[in-house]
Amino acid sequence: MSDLLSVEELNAYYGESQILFDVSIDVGDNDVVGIFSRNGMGKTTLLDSIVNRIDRKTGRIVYDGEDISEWETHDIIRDKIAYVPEDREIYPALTVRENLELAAPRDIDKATREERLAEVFEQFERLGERQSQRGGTLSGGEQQMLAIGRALVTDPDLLLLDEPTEGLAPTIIDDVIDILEDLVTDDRAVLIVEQNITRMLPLIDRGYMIETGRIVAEGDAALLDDEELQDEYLTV
Amino acid sequence: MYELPLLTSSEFVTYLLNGISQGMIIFLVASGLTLIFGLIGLINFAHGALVALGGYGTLLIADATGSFWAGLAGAVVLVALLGLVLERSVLHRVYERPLLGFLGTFGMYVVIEELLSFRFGDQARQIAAPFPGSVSVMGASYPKHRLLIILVGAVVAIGIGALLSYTRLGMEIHATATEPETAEILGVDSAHVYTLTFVIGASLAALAGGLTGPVTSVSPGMGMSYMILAFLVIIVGGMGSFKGSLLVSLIVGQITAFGWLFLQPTYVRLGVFVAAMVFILYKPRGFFGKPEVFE
Repeated sequence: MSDLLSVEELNAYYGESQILFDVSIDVGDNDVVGIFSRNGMGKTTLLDSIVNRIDRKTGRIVYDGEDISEWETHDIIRDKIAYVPEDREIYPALTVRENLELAAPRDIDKATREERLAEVFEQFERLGERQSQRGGTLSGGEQQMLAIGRALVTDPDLLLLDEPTEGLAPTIIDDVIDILEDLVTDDRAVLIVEQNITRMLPLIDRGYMIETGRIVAEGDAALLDDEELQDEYLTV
Repeated sequence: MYELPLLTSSEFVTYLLNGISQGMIIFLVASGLTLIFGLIGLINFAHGALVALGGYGTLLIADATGSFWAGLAGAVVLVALLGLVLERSVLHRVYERPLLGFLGTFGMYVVIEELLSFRFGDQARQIAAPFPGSVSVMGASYPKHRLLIILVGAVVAIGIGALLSYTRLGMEIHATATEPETAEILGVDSAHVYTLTFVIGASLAALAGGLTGPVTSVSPGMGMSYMILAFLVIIVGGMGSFKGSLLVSLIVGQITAFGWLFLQPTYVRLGVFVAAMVFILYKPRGFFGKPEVFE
């Protein structure tokens, strides 16, 4: 297995505040990796750093053999990394279809774009039924589906998911987990950031735990499935 | 006792068309401003100078080539290029600093107007209309060039409306105007969208300057006289609302045209501003202003 993504000694800052300290992680081809911590420990900052969406950082982000640390966010996304942010960031005034069309790569022809949209609508039937509905009128679960659908139309090699179950009702979380189960079996790498380790462990190959911006544990799913470890770093 | 003037049907048509053409001139100026404000949030005072540059560019190139159309096309291209240079060199640095943007664009306006005044003098100059003379419209004899302005204004309104509603660029403009950071994580190059929109706005300013030249003549300060009405239009129409700009431009055009039947032009203009102020007191976001929607 070769590394698709390597984050090397990453230090990240918002303004004067340092959020991440010498963080290094690897994601291999078709690897499903989880990042777990309590709230406010730097999980989202890690994803934001990978797509260069933060004020300042040091260290290296190497993707597919290239140092992308200084690339513009849109160039990183166009290089087949898709990002599903924690708060979904749906465009409320655009329709479901328009939100998806906006995310579709510019360099694919119309037939391919329609094909990808059809695949999303097949996978998320509720989105298909609401193609002409404005994004802002969707429920929380549907918005999460749209955010994931928006990532999938790019046919990414690496999918970044930030707390996909955050703020959803328990029954909707089950739906989202079903979707994630399908996603992780596809031919792509996935990096999932979550608090809810119990629901995520069956999905991942490996994982990391973060405490106040530092990696404190790493290993395969079996190693992270440890009550003592989880109590120390994840229990509030 | 004051008597209401009675209009014949041909006079009514003349006033109506005057109102529409006046409204379309205001709209052509306001449309570029609306695009730039709606996307970038920049109150672009330099827009008035770009209108004047469009007028002078059309005048000079038309004189040199003998073709109004070559003059208009040349002016639009040159002003678009100037817009590109201004945006890339200076303006993109001040988008997140509104006061600097305001001062910077006002400074650009003053510099360009003074340069035009220095080079061409303050005397107004006329551009020869491409279609001189009049044509009969429902019994009224009406200048062909004013009809051309109405036609071009309608084409621009439909064109920009279609651009915003039905094209990928339109979606990208909406996305960038609403939330540029989200647009970036969808692969949209927001800086490119800003530049392109500013260039489109500058082109519209030049188009307005060149087209109005045969009607109102060309002078260094021609842009500012329209800018005041254009600002009124984008505020009452709803900041960033394209259809609001069109609607209010046409309303102001009609009020101006028919108002002259009853009052002197100065009082008509004063009345328009008072009415706009009262309207904004009751509806601060204007007709179609919404915080997250670029229409």
